[in-house]
Amino acid sequence: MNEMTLTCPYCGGIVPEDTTICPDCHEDLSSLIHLESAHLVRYNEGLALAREGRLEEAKASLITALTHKESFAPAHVLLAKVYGRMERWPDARASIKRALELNPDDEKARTLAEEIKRAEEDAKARQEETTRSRRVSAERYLAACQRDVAKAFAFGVGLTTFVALLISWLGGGKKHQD
Amino acid sequence: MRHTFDFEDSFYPVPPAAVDANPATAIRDLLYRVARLEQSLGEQRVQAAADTKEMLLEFISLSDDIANIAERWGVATKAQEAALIGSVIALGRKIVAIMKHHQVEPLDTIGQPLDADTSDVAGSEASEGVPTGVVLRELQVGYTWPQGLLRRAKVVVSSGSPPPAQGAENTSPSTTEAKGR
Repeated sequence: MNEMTLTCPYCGGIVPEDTTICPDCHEDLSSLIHLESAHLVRYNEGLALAREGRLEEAKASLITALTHKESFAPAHVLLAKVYGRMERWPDARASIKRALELNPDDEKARTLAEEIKRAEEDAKARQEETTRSRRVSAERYLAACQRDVAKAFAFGVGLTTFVALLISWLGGGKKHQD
Repeated sequence: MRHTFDFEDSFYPVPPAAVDANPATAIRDLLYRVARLEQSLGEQRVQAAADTKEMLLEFISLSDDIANIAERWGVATKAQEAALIGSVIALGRKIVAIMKHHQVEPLDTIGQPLDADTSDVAGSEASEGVPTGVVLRELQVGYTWPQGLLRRAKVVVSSGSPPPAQGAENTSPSTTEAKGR
Protein backbone atom coordinates (compact mmCIF):
# COMPACT_ATOMS: atom_id res chain seq x y z
CA MET A 1 0.00 0.00 0.00
CA ASN A 2 1.97 2.97 -1.22
CA GLU A 3 -0.78 5.50 -0.81
CA MET A 4 1.51 8.50 -0.42
CA THR A 5 5.04 9.33 -1.35
CA LEU A 6 6.09 12.58 0.22
CA THR A 7 8.53 15.04 -1.27
CA CYS A 8 10.32 17.12 1.34
CA PRO A 9 9.27 20.77 0.88
CA TYR A 10 12.58 21.97 2.34
CA CYS A 11 15.06 20.06 0.16
CA GLY A 12 12.98 18.19 -2.45
CA GLY A 13 14.14 14.77 -1.24
CA ILE A 14 11.89 11.71 -1.11
CA VAL A 15 10.66 10.87 2.38
CA PRO A 16 9.98 7.14 3.02
CA GLU A 17 6.47 6.39 4.28
CA ASP A 18 7.62 4.92 7.60
CA THR A 19 9.30 8.07 8.88
CA THR A 20 8.47 11.72 9.52
CA ILE A 21 12.03 13.05 9.35
CA CYS A 22 13.50 13.89 5.96
CA PRO A 23 16.56 11.66 5.49
CA ASP A 24 18.33 14.37 3.47
CA CYS A 25 17.78 17.59 5.41
CA HIS A 26 16.56 16.08 8.74
CA GLU A 27 13.57 18.42 8.95
CA ASP A 28 10.61 17.16 11.00
CA LEU A 29 7.70 16.70 8.59
CA SER A 30 5.26 15.05 11.02
CA SER A 31 2.73 17.89 10.81
CA LEU A 32 2.81 17.89 7.04
CA ILE A 33 2.39 14.10 6.95
CA HIS A 34 -0.46 14.48 9.47
CA LEU A 35 -2.27 16.82 7.06
CA GLU A 36 -1.38 14.81 3.97
CA SER A 37 -2.51 11.52 5.51
CA ALA A 38 -5.54 12.76 7.46
CA HIS A 39 -7.79 10.60 5.25
CA LEU A 40 -5.69 7.52 6.06
CA VAL A 41 -5.86 8.22 9.79
CA ARG A 42 -9.66 8.54 9.58
CA TYR A 43 -9.91 5.44 7.39
CA ASN A 44 -7.90 3.38 9.90
CA GLU A 45 -10.09 4.73 12.70
CA GLY A 46 -13.25 3.81 10.76
CA LEU A 47 -11.94 0.32 10.05
CA ALA A 48 -11.11 -0.29 13.72
CA LEU A 49 -14.57 0.92 14.79
CA ALA A 50 -16.28 -1.22 12.14
CA ARG A 51 -14.38 -4.28 13.39
CA GLU A 52 -15.67 -3.49 16.88
CA GLY A 53 -19.21 -3.31 15.50
CA ARG A 54 -19.55 0.42 16.23
CA LEU A 55 -21.05 1.07 12.83
CA GLU A 56 -22.42 4.59 13.38
CA GLU A 57 -19.04 5.84 14.60
CA ALA A 58 -17.26 3.97 11.81
CA LYS A 59 -19.55 5.61 9.29
CA ALA A 60 -18.79 9.07 10.75
CA SER A 61 -15.01 8.43 10.57
CA LEU A 62 -15.22 7.23 6.97
CA ILE A 63 -17.29 10.23 5.94
CA THR A 64 -14.63 12.46 7.54
CA ALA A 65 -11.93 10.53 5.64
CA LEU A 66 -13.80 11.26 2.42
CA THR A 67 -14.16 14.91 3.37
CA HIS A 68 -10.36 15.05 3.51
CA LYS A 69 -9.95 13.15 0.24
CA GLU A 70 -13.07 12.36 -1.74
CA SER A 71 -11.13 10.35 -4.33
CA PHE A 72 -9.91 7.81 -1.76
CA ALA A 73 -11.66 4.71 -3.15
CA PRO A 74 -10.94 2.29 -0.24
CA ALA A 75 -12.96 4.54 2.08
CA HIS A 76 -15.93 4.33 -0.31
CA VAL A 77 -15.58 0.53 -0.36
CA LEU A 78 -15.45 0.30 3.43
CA LEU A 79 -18.34 2.72 3.78
CA ALA A 80 -20.38 0.54 1.41
CA LYS A 81 -19.72 -2.43 3.68
CA VAL A 82 -20.72 -0.45 6.77
CA TYR A 83 -23.94 0.64 5.06
CA GLY A 84 -24.45 -2.98 4.00
CA ARG A 85 -24.18 -4.12 7.60
CA MET A 86 -26.66 -1.40 8.56
CA GLU A 87 -28.93 -2.58 5.70
CA ARG A 88 -28.99 0.91 4.26
CA TRP A 89 -29.03 -0.37 0.72
CA PRO A 90 -29.37 2.86 -1.31
CA ASP A 91 -26.38 4.35 0.57
CA ALA A 92 -24.39 1.13 0.17
CA ARG A 93 -25.12 1.10 -3.56
CA ALA A 94 -24.11 4.77 -3.93
CA SER A 95 -20.82 4.21 -2.07
CA ILE A 96 -19.79 1.16 -4.06
CA LYS A 97 -20.80 2.90 -7.29
CA ARG A 98 -18.48 5.81 -6.45
CA ALA A 99 -15.69 3.37 -5.57
CA LEU A 100 -16.06 1.72 -8.97
CA GLU A 101 -16.13 5.09 -10.72
CA LEU A 102 -12.81 5.93 -9.05
CA ASN A 103 -11.29 2.52 -9.62
CA PRO A 104 -13.14 0.62 -12.38
CA ASP A 105 -10.61 -2.25 -12.39
CA ASP A 106 -11.07 -3.08 -8.71
CA GLU A 107 -12.29 -6.68 -8.74
CA LYS A 108 -12.99 -6.71 -5.01
CA ALA A 109 -15.23 -3.66 -5.36
CA ARG A 110 -17.06 -5.28 -8.27
CA THR A 111 -17.61 -8.43 -6.21
CA LEU A 112 -18.79 -6.33 -3.30
CA ALA A 113 -21.24 -4.49 -5.57
CA GLU A 114 -22.74 -7.84 -6.60
CA GLU A 115 -22.79 -8.98 -2.99
CA ILE A 116 -24.63 -5.81 -1.99
CA LYS A 117 -27.13 -6.34 -4.79
CA ARG A 118 -27.76 -9.95 -3.70
CA ALA A 119 -27.98 -8.94 -0.06
CA GLU A 120 -30.51 -6.25 -0.90
CA GLU A 121 -32.60 -8.74 -2.85
CA ASP A 122 -32.36 -11.26 0.00
CA ALA A 123 -33.38 -8.59 2.47
CA LYS A 124 -36.37 -7.67 0.31
CA ALA A 125 -37.39 -11.32 -0.01
CA ARG A 126 -37.00 -11.76 3.73
CA GLN A 127 -39.13 -8.72 4.36
CA GLU A 128 -41.83 -9.97 1.97
CA GLU A 129 -41.76 -13.36 3.69
CA THR A 130 -42.14 -11.70 7.06
CA THR A 131 -45.06 -9.62 5.79
CA ARG A 132 -46.72 -12.67 4.27
CA SER A 133 -46.33 -14.76 7.42
CA ARG A 134 -47.69 -11.90 9.48
CA ARG A 135 -50.67 -11.62 7.16
CA VAL A 136 -51.30 -15.38 7.38
CA SER A 137 -51.14 -15.38 11.15
CA ALA A 138 -53.45 -12.34 11.26
CA GLU A 139 -55.90 -14.12 8.99
CA ARG A 140 -55.73 -17.24 11.17
CA TYR A 141 -56.38 -15.17 14.23
CA LEU A 142 -59.34 -13.50 12.54
CA ALA A 143 -60.81 -16.87 11.52
CA ALA A 144 -60.41 -18.18 15.07
CA CYS A 145 -62.13 -15.09 16.41
CA GLN A 146 -64.96 -15.49 13.92
CA ARG A 147 -65.36 -19.12 14.95
CA ASP A 148 -65.45 -18.16 18.61
CA VAL A 149 -68.04 -15.46 17.88
CA ALA A 150 -70.21 -17.96 15.97
CA LYS A 151 -69.91 -20.47 18.80
CA ALA A 152 -70.82 -17.84 21.36
CA PHE A 153 -73.78 -16.74 19.25
CA ALA A 154 -75.04 -20.32 18.87
CA PHE A 155 -74.60 -20.90 22.58
CA GLY A 156 -76.51 -17.70 23.33
CA VAL A 157 -79.36 -18.64 20.98
CA GLY A 158 -79.59 -22.14 22.52
CA LEU A 159 -79.53 -20.76 26.04
CA THR A 160 -82.23 -18.20 25.23
CA THR A 161 -84.45 -20.90 23.66
CA PHE A 162 -83.96 -23.14 26.66
CA VAL A 163 -84.85 -20.33 29.07
CA ALA A 164 -87.94 -19.48 26.99
CA LEU A 165 -89.07 -23.08 26.96
CA LEU A 166 -88.49 -23.36 30.68
CA ILE A 167 -90.53 -20.23 31.35
CA SER A 168 -93.34 -21.37 29.10
CA TRP A 169 -93.36 -24.82 30.68
CA LEU A 170 -93.45 -23.34 34.18
CA GLY A 171 -96.25 -20.96 33.05
CA GLY A 172 -98.31 -23.83 31.56
CA GLY A 173 -98.11 -25.92 34.83
CA LYS A 174 -99.48 -23.06 36.95
CA LYS A 175 -102.50 -22.56 34.63
CA HIS A 176 -103.46 -26.28 34.98
CA GLN A 177 -103.32 -26.02 38.79
CA ASP A 178 -105.69 -23.02 38.74
CA MET B 1 -29.20 -16.00 3.96
CA ARG B 2 -27.78 -12.99 5.78
CA HIS B 3 -24.69 -11.22 4.30
CA THR B 4 -22.04 -10.28 6.82
CA PHE B 5 -19.73 -7.89 4.88
CA ASP B 6 -16.43 -8.64 6.54
CA PHE B 7 -14.05 -5.86 7.59
CA GLU B 8 -10.84 -7.70 6.83
CA ASP B 9 -9.33 -4.78 4.89
CA SER B 10 -5.78 -3.75 5.79
CA PHE B 11 -4.86 -0.68 7.78
CA TYR B 12 -2.80 1.97 5.98
CA PRO B 13 0.60 2.60 7.59
CA VAL B 14 0.85 6.09 9.08
CA PRO B 15 3.86 6.94 11.27
CA PRO B 16 2.74 7.41 14.89
CA ALA B 17 4.55 10.75 15.07
CA ALA B 18 2.39 12.00 12.19
CA VAL B 19 -0.82 10.80 13.86
CA ASP B 20 0.06 12.68 17.06
CA ALA B 21 1.43 15.79 15.31
CA ASN B 22 -0.21 19.16 15.83
CA PRO B 23 -0.20 21.13 12.57
CA ALA B 24 -1.19 24.36 14.36
CA THR B 25 2.00 24.24 16.44
CA ALA B 26 4.05 23.45 13.35
CA ILE B 27 2.52 26.38 11.45
CA ARG B 28 3.22 28.69 14.40
CA ASP B 29 6.85 27.51 14.46
CA LEU B 30 7.16 27.98 10.72
CA LEU B 31 5.74 31.50 10.86
CA TYR B 32 8.23 32.31 13.63
CA ARG B 33 11.06 30.93 11.50
CA VAL B 34 9.86 32.91 8.47
CA ALA B 35 9.71 36.09 10.55
CA ARG B 36 13.23 35.48 11.85
CA LEU B 37 14.52 34.79 8.34
CA GLU B 38 12.82 37.94 7.02
CA GLN B 39 14.42 39.97 9.79
CA SER B 40 17.78 38.37 9.11
CA LEU B 41 17.37 38.96 5.38
CA GLY B 42 16.54 42.63 6.03
CA GLU B 43 19.62 43.01 8.20
CA GLN B 44 21.78 41.29 5.61
CA ARG B 45 20.41 43.56 2.88
CA VAL B 46 21.25 46.63 4.94
CA GLN B 47 24.72 45.21 5.62
CA ALA B 48 25.18 44.36 1.93
CA ALA B 49 24.16 47.91 0.95
CA ALA B 50 26.60 49.34 3.47
CA ASP B 51 29.38 47.08 2.18
CA THR B 52 28.60 47.99 -1.43
CA LYS B 53 28.56 51.68 -0.52
CA GLU B 54 31.93 51.37 1.14
CA MET B 55 33.35 49.52 -1.86
CA LEU B 56 31.93 52.05 -4.32
CA LEU B 57 33.31 54.95 -2.29
CA GLU B 58 36.72 53.29 -2.49
CA PHE B 59 36.29 52.94 -6.25
CA ILE B 60 35.30 56.60 -6.50
CA SER B 61 38.34 57.59 -4.46
CA LEU B 62 40.50 55.48 -6.76
CA SER B 63 38.88 57.08 -9.79
CA ASP B 64 39.57 60.56 -8.33
CA ASP B 65 43.20 59.61 -7.76
CA ILE B 66 43.56 58.34 -11.32
CA ALA B 67 41.97 61.54 -12.66
CA ASN B 68 44.40 63.61 -10.55
CA ILE B 69 47.36 61.57 -11.81
CA ALA B 70 46.27 62.07 -15.43
CA GLU B 71 45.77 65.81 -14.84
CA ARG B 72 49.12 66.28 -13.09
CA TRP B 73 51.00 64.25 -15.67
CA GLY B 74 50.00 66.58 -18.48
CA VAL B 75 51.29 65.80 -21.96
CA ALA B 76 53.64 62.81 -22.11
CA THR B 77 56.90 63.44 -23.89
CA LYS B 78 58.25 59.92 -24.09
CA ALA B 79 56.59 56.86 -25.65
CA GLN B 80 57.03 54.88 -22.43
CA GLU B 81 55.38 57.65 -20.42
CA ALA B 82 52.56 57.87 -22.96
CA ALA B 83 52.01 54.11 -22.70
CA LEU B 84 52.02 54.32 -18.92
CA ILE B 85 49.57 57.21 -18.77
CA GLY B 86 47.40 55.45 -21.37
CA SER B 87 47.27 52.39 -19.11
CA VAL B 88 46.37 54.51 -16.10
CA ILE B 89 43.57 56.18 -18.07
CA ALA B 90 42.32 52.76 -19.28
CA LEU B 91 42.27 51.61 -15.64
CA GLY B 92 40.30 54.73 -14.74
CA ARG B 93 37.79 53.99 -17.51
CA LYS B 94 37.40 50.46 -16.23
CA ILE B 95 36.63 51.80 -12.78
CA VAL B 96 34.09 54.20 -14.26
CA ALA B 97 32.51 51.26 -16.10
CA ILE B 98 32.28 49.30 -12.87
CA MET B 99 30.61 52.29 -11.21
CA LYS B 100 28.18 52.60 -14.12
CA HIS B 101 27.38 48.91 -13.75
CA HIS B 102 26.41 49.65 -10.15
CA GLN B 103 24.29 52.57 -11.42
CA VAL B 104 26.60 55.11 -9.83
CA GLU B 105 26.00 58.46 -11.54
CA PRO B 106 27.91 61.74 -11.04
CA LEU B 107 25.89 64.68 -9.80
CA ASP B 108 25.37 67.47 -12.30
CA THR B 109 26.07 70.59 -10.25
CA ILE B 110 28.04 73.04 -12.40
CA GLY B 111 25.93 75.96 -13.56
CA GLN B 112 23.09 74.86 -11.27
CA PRO B 113 21.94 76.63 -8.12
CA LEU B 114 23.50 75.11 -4.99
CA ASP B 115 21.58 72.09 -3.71
CA ALA B 116 22.31 71.87 0.01
CA ASP B 117 20.96 68.30 0.09
CA THR B 118 23.69 66.98 -2.19
CA SER B 119 26.52 69.51 -2.10
CA ASP B 120 28.76 71.21 0.44
CA VAL B 121 30.15 74.66 -0.21
CA ALA B 122 33.93 74.56 -0.17
CA GLY B 123 34.29 78.19 -1.13
CA SER B 124 32.83 81.09 -3.03
CA GLU B 125 34.16 83.34 -5.78
CA ALA B 126 33.02 86.51 -7.36
CA SER B 127 32.08 85.83 -10.92
CA GLU B 128 31.00 88.19 -13.64
CA GLY B 129 27.47 87.63 -14.82
CA VAL B 130 26.83 84.59 -12.62
CA PRO B 131 24.10 84.97 -9.99
CA THR B 132 24.92 84.36 -6.35
CA GLY B 133 24.69 80.71 -5.21
CA VAL B 134 25.26 79.15 -8.61
CA VAL B 135 27.94 76.44 -8.66
CA LEU B 136 31.02 77.50 -10.56
CA ARG B 137 33.16 74.35 -10.23
CA GLU B 138 33.51 71.11 -8.32
CA LEU B 139 36.36 70.32 -5.97
CA GLN B 140 34.93 66.89 -5.38
CA VAL B 141 32.42 65.27 -7.71
CA GLY B 142 29.27 64.02 -5.98
CA TYR B 143 27.66 60.69 -6.88
CA THR B 144 24.27 59.07 -6.58
CA TRP B 145 23.36 55.41 -6.69
CA PRO B 146 20.06 53.47 -6.50
CA GLN B 147 19.98 53.80 -2.70
CA GLY B 148 20.28 57.57 -2.86
CA LEU B 149 23.23 59.87 -2.40
CA LEU B 150 26.57 58.05 -2.42
CA ARG B 151 28.96 60.97 -1.94
CA ARG B 152 28.33 64.64 -1.42
CA ALA B 153 29.83 67.08 -3.86
CA LYS B 154 32.19 69.84 -2.72
CA VAL B 155 31.61 72.93 -4.79
CA VAL B 156 32.67 76.51 -5.24
CA VAL B 157 29.74 78.84 -5.69
CA SER B 158 29.42 82.26 -7.13
CA SER B 159 29.22 85.14 -4.71
CA GLY B 160 27.94 87.49 -7.40
CA SER B 161 29.64 90.09 -9.58
CA PRO B 162 32.86 91.64 -8.15
CA PRO B 163 32.71 95.29 -7.04
CA PRO B 164 33.85 97.33 -10.08
CA ALA B 165 36.19 99.72 -8.16
CA GLN B 166 38.41 97.17 -6.48
CA GLY B 167 38.69 94.79 -9.43
CA ALA B 168 40.50 91.50 -9.46
CA GLU B 169 42.91 92.30 -6.56
CA ASN B 170 40.17 91.93 -3.95
CA THR B 171 39.54 88.24 -3.73
CA SER B 172 37.42 86.85 -0.93
CA PRO B 173 39.09 84.63 1.69
CA SER B 174 36.92 81.69 0.72
CA THR B 175 38.15 81.93 -2.86
CA THR B 176 41.68 81.81 -1.63
CA GLU B 177 40.85 78.75 0.40
CA ALA B 178 39.26 77.09 -2.61
CA LYS B 179 42.24 77.88 -4.77
CA GLY B 180 44.52 76.46 -2.12
CA ARG B 181 42.75 73.15 -2.51
